[in-house]
Amino acid sequence: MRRLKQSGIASFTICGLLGAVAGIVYAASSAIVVKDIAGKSLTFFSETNARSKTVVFIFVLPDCPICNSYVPELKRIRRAFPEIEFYRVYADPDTTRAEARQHSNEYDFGFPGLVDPAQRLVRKSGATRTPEAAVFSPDGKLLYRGRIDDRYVDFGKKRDHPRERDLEAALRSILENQPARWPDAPPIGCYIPTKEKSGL
Amino acid sequence: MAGRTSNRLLHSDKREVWAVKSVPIVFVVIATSSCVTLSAEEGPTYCRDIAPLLNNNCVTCHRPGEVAPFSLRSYNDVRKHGRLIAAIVQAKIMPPWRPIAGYGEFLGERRLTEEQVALIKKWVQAGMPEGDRKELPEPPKFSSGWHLGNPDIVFTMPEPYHLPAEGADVLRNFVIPLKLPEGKYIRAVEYRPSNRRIVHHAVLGMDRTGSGRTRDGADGLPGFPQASLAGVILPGNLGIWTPGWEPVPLPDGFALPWPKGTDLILQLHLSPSGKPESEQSAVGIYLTDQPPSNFMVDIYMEDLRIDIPPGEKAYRTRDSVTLPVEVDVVGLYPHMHRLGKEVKVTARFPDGTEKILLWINDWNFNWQMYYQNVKPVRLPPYTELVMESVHDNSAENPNNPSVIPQRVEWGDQTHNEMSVVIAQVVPVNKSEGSMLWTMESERESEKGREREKKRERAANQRQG
Repeated sequence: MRRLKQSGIASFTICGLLGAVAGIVYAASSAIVVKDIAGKSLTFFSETNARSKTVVFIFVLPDCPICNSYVPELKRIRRAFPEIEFYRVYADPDTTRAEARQHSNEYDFGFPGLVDPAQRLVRKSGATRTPEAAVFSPDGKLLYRGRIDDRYVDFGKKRDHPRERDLEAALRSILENQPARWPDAPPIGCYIPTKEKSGL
Repeated sequence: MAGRTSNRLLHSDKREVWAVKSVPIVFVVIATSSCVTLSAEEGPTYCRDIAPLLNNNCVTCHRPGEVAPFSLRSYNDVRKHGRLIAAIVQAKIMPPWRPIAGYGEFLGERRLTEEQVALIKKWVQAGMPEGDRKELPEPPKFSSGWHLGNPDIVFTMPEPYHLPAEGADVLRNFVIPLKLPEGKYIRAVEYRPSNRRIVHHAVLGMDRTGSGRTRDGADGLPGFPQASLAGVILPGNLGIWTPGWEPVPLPDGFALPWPKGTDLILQLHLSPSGKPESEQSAVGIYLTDQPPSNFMVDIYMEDLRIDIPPGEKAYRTRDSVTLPVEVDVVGLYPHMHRLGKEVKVTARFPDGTEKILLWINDWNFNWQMYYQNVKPVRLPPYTELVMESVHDNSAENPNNPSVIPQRVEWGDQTHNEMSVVIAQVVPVNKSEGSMLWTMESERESEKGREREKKRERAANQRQG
């Protein structure tokens, strides 16, 4: 009992210390550092070193067929907006860089991929499904979150051609300094898995 | 016009009202009982409750190398897709089985009970506990080769068909010049796709006319486009393959003769995946020396008058036939294109009573099936078989291939429509078979003339 109590106090102290350190780091910066699929570190949402361009994150899962079916469309959107940065984010915390690279070799997105094992970009964006887009201003404000377009009506129900190209319309508005219109309906696709229910 | 306000052929408002009224009560009961009596151990766990359910209903397709998008073989796989699974089974999108329960009993039925759906939902709401691994059932075993053993003849497409990364789904007929040795008959056919990611379904038929052969490769690619099978569908379960389907040989006493010069037609429905893909299918043919001792007759019910105005939400079609002899209905094959919404087959008996043999009120062109009765359904002489269907040509129908709805007429291309049910029947008294055969041949040749007229008119319109 005595030993237990002691170790309890010890771990409490360590936790407290770690918490304090983390607190200091967070107070200084809300920056999110993630790695791309090649292992290179990239920093987003740094207060001291803001990005110069609008950033689009597309949340994906390698085994989500709806994500994969959007690859040619995403590539086209990316080409239409050279003034905007595009990243696809592997939203499953268990997706390894090797798996992400393999997926990239199979599907030609035409813009870089990031792995997000701690799901910090997922939480920052509030994305819940794949494929889902989140658009941030250079100073880190969320300008749009939602589906790419409305071609999927439900699981297994798909139009040949979308009626609303929501992401494209949002990017156009943003470039004209107008507020983006957020779609009423959530994206159709897979739910983004969380590591452990209690942990996140 | 009042009758056209609903797209359902029959209403079931009673059940819906009950559900709405009882929601608050049920909610209170669950909420109270879960607080008071349920402990974590009593709730469903993956190992004890969910794994057996998924093994029996989902894993055939949801495993590595199979058509379904993700594997559902391990706890981690299932946990990740838990919310999706709960939503999809509740909406009855999966397992893919369109007929309404209670109208016909068919082979290979894939359906979860209300209790099973509730169990999955409860498990997801409880945080998807894994449970005791000792309770995990044996994983199901699947053969990697031919399900029916080595075929007598294997035909592989001589060159792959290349599918672009995106665009509308492709419906294409491939011609297989099949020759059978003297004195042999077909007892089973097994279809194997090479790329399960893109092959949505396959239909197999026979073409005695040689017309498929002349159209093959006309656009410079293997095969030719056509939304309907360019031939007569093979009998029984031989004619259609969907993901997860295991081949079923013809019933005892049946075998398919293959006249010289007949081509096997393989129609594939291919869905683009987001990257360039190719498909090179194989078809295995199983032979027998036993000539058939009985035969099936395909009874075609088809409404050729189909001509749907743009915007029409519930366009009704109908065809019927009175069968002069006693028959057993082996199976039913409904066929509509993308505007199809609902289809019902009813047997009207001579005494005035009736029985619904098949009813689908949420038609999905992507999940076409041949519905083989578990037990053949016997119909007394002079039973009238009735086919009724509903098509939706409104802009609200997401399956409408035209963004702005167009007038849609009969035809076998994707932008045309059809309203067909083939009933495969066996005369109970063999001696009466020829009477049935003659009747159907006459009906069919009349329909054939009508189809030819429609094709000619369409060709003239194109030229004009």
